[in-house]
Amino acid sequence: MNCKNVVQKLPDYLSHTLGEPETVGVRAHLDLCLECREESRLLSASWDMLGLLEPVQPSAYFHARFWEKVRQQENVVLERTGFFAKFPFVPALAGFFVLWVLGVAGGARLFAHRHETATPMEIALNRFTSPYPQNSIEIIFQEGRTPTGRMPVTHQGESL
Amino acid sequence: MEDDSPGNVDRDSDESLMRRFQSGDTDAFVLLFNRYSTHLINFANRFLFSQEESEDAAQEVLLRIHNARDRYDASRPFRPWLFSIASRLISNRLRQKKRHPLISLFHSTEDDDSPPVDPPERRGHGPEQNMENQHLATLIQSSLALLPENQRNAVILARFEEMTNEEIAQIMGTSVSSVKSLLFRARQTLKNALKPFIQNQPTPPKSTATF
Ligand SMILES: [Zn+2]
Repeated sequence: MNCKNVVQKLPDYLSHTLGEPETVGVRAHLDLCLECREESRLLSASWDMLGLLEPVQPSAYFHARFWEKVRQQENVVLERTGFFAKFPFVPALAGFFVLWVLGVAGGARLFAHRHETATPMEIALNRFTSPYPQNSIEIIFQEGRTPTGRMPVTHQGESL
Repeated sequence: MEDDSPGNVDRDSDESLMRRFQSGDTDAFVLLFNRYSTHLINFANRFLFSQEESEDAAQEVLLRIHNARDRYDASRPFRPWLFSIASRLISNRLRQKKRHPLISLFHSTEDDDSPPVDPPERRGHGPEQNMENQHLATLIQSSLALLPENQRNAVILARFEEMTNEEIAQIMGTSVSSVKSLLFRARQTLKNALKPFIQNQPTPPKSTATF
C-alpha cells in the first residue's frame, strides 16, 4: 500500500469503518512511514478538536415560546376553518340580499305614493274594467254600452 | 452529548413516539421535543453562529415536525427525517443571510496550508483560560466556516450527531460515496486550518471551548 492509498483510507481507518485486511495494511504502512503517521495524527487531532466546542443550552423561554407559536398557529387554523372561511361568499350574499330587499321595499313604497293607493296590478285591471270612454275595450264595444261596463243584452237574452 | 442520547434503548423509540403523536398523544411530541430541541439548536448554531437565530431555526424545525406528523412514515427512521428538514431550513436561512462573519479570519481557499491565525503560545488559568477558550472556540468556528455548506453539513452530522455515512447520505439526498468524498475534503480543510494550533500542542487541549 503506497502513501496515496493510505491517505485516501485514513478517514475510514480513523473512524474504524475500514475492512480488516485494509486496516492491517494501513497500520503496517503507518508503522513505517513518518509522513503518513503525521498526516494521521493531524487528521485525528483536528477531528477531535471539533468536540471542544461546548454545546449551547436552550434559553429560558425556548419551550414557552415554542408552545406559544403552536397555540397561535392553532388559532389561525380555527379562523381559517370556520363557517365563513368555508363559505366566504355568504356575508357578501347576505349583504346583497338585504340591499335588494330594501331597494324593492323602497321602490314599491315610492310607486304606491305616486299612484295614491293603487298598485300596478290594480291599475292594469282597472284599465280593462273601467266604465269610462277612454278604456280601450269601451271604444271597441262603444255601441250599446252600458255605464256599468256590461254588454247590452237582446230581448231574447243573448249577447250581441 | 446534549440531552439524553438518541441511542439509549431504555426508552420509547423516536418512531414509536411519532406513531403515538400521530394518534393524537401530544405528550409523545413533548418527549420528542425535549429529546431533540438542544440537538437542533446546536446543529443550527454550527451553521449560523448565533444562539438567537439557532433557536428560531430549531423552533421552525420542531413546528414543521408538529404540523407534518401525518406525512411522517413511521416505518422509516425518524432522525434522518428530522435532520433532513433541519438541513433544508438552515440552508434556506443561510441563503437569506448570504454572509459568513467569521470567514475573514482565514484565507478563503481550501488548499491554503497556513491560515493566518497565530496559535497560542501558552495556556493559563482564570481570565487567561477564558480568553484561551474563546480563542479556541473562534478558531474552531472559523475552520467550520471555511467549509462549503454541503461539506459542513456532512461534518456536523458525522462529528456531532454521530451519524453513519448511510444516514448522512439519506439526509443529504446523495450517495454514500459522495458523502465519503465530502468528508474527505472537509477533513483535509479542517486539518490544514487547525494544523498551526495542533502542532503547538504536544498533547490534545483539555479545556472546553464555548460558543
Ligand atoms: Zn506513507
